[in-house]
Amino acid sequence: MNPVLVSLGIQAVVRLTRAGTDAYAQYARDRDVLLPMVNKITVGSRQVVQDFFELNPHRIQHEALGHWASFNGKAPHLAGDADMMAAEYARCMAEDNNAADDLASEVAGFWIVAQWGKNAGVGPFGRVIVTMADVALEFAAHDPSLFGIQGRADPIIKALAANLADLIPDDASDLGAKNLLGERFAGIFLRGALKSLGEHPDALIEEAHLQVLVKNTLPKLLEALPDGLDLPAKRDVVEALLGPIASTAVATIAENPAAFFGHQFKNDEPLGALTRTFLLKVANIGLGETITRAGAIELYQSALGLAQAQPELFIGSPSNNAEKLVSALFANLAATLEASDPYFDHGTVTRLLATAVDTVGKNAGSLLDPSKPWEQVFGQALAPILAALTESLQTSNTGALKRLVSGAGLTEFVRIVLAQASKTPGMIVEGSNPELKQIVVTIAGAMAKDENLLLSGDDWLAIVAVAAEEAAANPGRLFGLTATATDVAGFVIGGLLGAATAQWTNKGRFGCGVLYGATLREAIIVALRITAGNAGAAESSTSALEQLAQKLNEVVAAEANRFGSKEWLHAYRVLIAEVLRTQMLPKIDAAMIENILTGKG
Amino acid sequence: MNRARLPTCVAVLVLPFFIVACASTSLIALDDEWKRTYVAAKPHADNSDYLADAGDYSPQFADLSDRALAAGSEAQSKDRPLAIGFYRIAALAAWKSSALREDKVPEIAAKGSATCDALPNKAASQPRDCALLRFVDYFAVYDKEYRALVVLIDLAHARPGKDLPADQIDVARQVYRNISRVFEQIDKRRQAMDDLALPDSFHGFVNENWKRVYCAWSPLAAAISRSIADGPEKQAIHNQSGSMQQRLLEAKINTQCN
Repeated sequence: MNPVLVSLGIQAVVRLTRAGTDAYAQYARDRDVLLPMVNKITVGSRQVVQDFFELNPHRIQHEALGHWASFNGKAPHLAGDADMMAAEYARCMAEDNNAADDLASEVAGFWIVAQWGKNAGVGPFGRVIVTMADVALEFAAHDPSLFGIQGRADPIIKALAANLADLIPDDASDLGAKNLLGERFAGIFLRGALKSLGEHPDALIEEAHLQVLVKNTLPKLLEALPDGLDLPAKRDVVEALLGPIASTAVATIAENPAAFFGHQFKNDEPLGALTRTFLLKVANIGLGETITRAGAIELYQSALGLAQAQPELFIGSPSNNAEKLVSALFANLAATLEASDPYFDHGTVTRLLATAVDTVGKNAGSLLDPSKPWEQVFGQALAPILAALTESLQTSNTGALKRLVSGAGLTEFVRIVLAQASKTPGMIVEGSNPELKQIVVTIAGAMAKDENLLLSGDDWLAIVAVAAEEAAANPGRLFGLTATATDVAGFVIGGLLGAATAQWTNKGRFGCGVLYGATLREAIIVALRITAGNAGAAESSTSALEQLAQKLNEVVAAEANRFGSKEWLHAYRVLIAEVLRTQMLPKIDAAMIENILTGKG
Repeated sequence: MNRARLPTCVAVLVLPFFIVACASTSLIALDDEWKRTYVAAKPHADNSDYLADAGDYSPQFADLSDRALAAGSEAQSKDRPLAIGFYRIAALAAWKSSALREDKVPEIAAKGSATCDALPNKAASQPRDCALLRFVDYFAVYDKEYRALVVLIDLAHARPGKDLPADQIDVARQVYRNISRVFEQIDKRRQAMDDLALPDSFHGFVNENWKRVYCAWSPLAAAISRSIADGPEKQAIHNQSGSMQQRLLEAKINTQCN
């Protein structure tokens, strides 16, 4: 006979006997018992009423005082005094006891009472069963074949049995309250299973790289979980998954990305080098604080997109170039976060940086020159845009600007500006990029003034696209780049928005105005396109340009039966060209608009 | 290991556990005896004067209490939880033994409570038994006072004005004070039960007994009130009545006594 099994057998007999006697003792002291009552006084109903009002005279209603004196023998007898006082008593009892419970055992004269309420510990039978399970696990841990388990499952069953036996307390009463028992067994099983799988991943997983992943990460999860028998709180598990486990898992994958993602991700390939470098960086700084899981994925995807769109950037030494890019991205992320705090959170800045990598990577031609420090371009492109937005938000966090920065439109806004800028030679340069910044400052300033949200988010994105396109095609014209230069785009957009706001504020839709939404968007686009090619005339006609929209508004509103948005827009296209040509505001009335519409003007 | 000696070794190892099992059997037997005796002593489940019914059984209760106390003292060193079970039976039986052994109740309750305090989680380790030991001496005091109270009330209710004879007023005042004190002490102890995982039935048991104390106190208080002149004492009795009702109602206990 195996001496270890003999020893285990003796221990098992002793433990089971002890568990049995403990359970029996528990049964003996916890079984329901009879608890007696104190003696009860028996007093007639009439006497109860009399005693009650003797002690509570203030409870007698005024109209019953005469009956009380009669009932109490202190005044000549009144017919019905007993009934009156009984009714008074019933009224008082009803008033007092409407929220009181009737006691359940009035009739029985004794109570049968259990030892425990809801938080009872493990019951006597549970105690024996737990001990039997623990003993069985000890045997299984020593020799699983006793239970018919053989083959590849043998080591993990052995480990699971040993771990569960360790986790189950020898004294079942240490398992605590009965109502938490299921949760505690679940907690024990979770820990036992995780520990066993961490020790023998090969028993369940064939792939070597996944075995390494499991072996590296599960001990971290077990370390991170709080001690004790309880099922770990969801928060603890989530924190562990986001913290040390994620870092370990990411580092494990980074060691051998090709095993997880395929041969394209070998360390000497751009994708592999980038993946390895990126994951090691994330593992190093940890998910959660500087970068969220979603942010890391977005940034990683954008970097992979760059490697696919511009593979020449990584040729030669993929590892070095990947290291340069990843370092620059994380440095830019930290710097941008600091500069744009508190207006943009970590998630937003990470997403915008990913957008910058993606957009610049797809659109930049000579901008990403492998012989130059190209890895800095993305941060240099994004920084002036976020700086301009931060500056505008500091001035006024209102209207369409507020809506833009708190919604999904911000990414598209940045993408539009960067797409145009990266396509345009010289628009993104090393340094502060003032042109890019001025475009954003002007548009953002105008958006902040759109407090009535006369333009939708999409309308503003269309305006940004045109403004960026015209600025790219007409350098130094639309947006004042020096202190003395006029910000033509600023006053053109501001003038139209001002006229639209004045009319809207005055009477809203009932004022019969048409300058909002698509009409206003088209008017701004027309104005930007036409003034971009004639900025000098626009500068000389600021007053006339400002009055043009106001006057048109008045005439169209006054002739609501004849003119609508299409007519307003048609007349504006003609008249703005006329204003720029003459630098004067012509006389605008219904007849003139009629002539323009009929081609006579 | 010599296989022939194996059964002997196992027997030696498990013997202590069977000794404990014997004590458990004894607790069950005494509990059953207590239950049988109480039910037999109370032939009518009408909650009338229990004492009158139980008179012949007082010696049996006293004997049961004596044996349970001895068993508790013996188990004290080996198994405290079991000892507390024995003390519970000893205290309950002493309480219902009337004059024969009711004076022993405070001593037994104190012994049991001290044993509760020595448990790992104190009274929370054995909530029903330990909580009961906090109340049982006051229930016994009440039942003792009850005998005098019944005499006084019968005396008052036999008189036309339902008042007490002048020579009984001081006696009545003493009983009044004692029963008032029992009411207050029960209230104090029931408010200290929150940390124990007690079943609802235990709360019901305490509340019903508490109400019985109030319902016995009221006719005595009314008789005294009728027997004395208007003044501060009478007003104090009325105030005490209002306070008792208020506390019962706050505990959601119906104050109707008939």
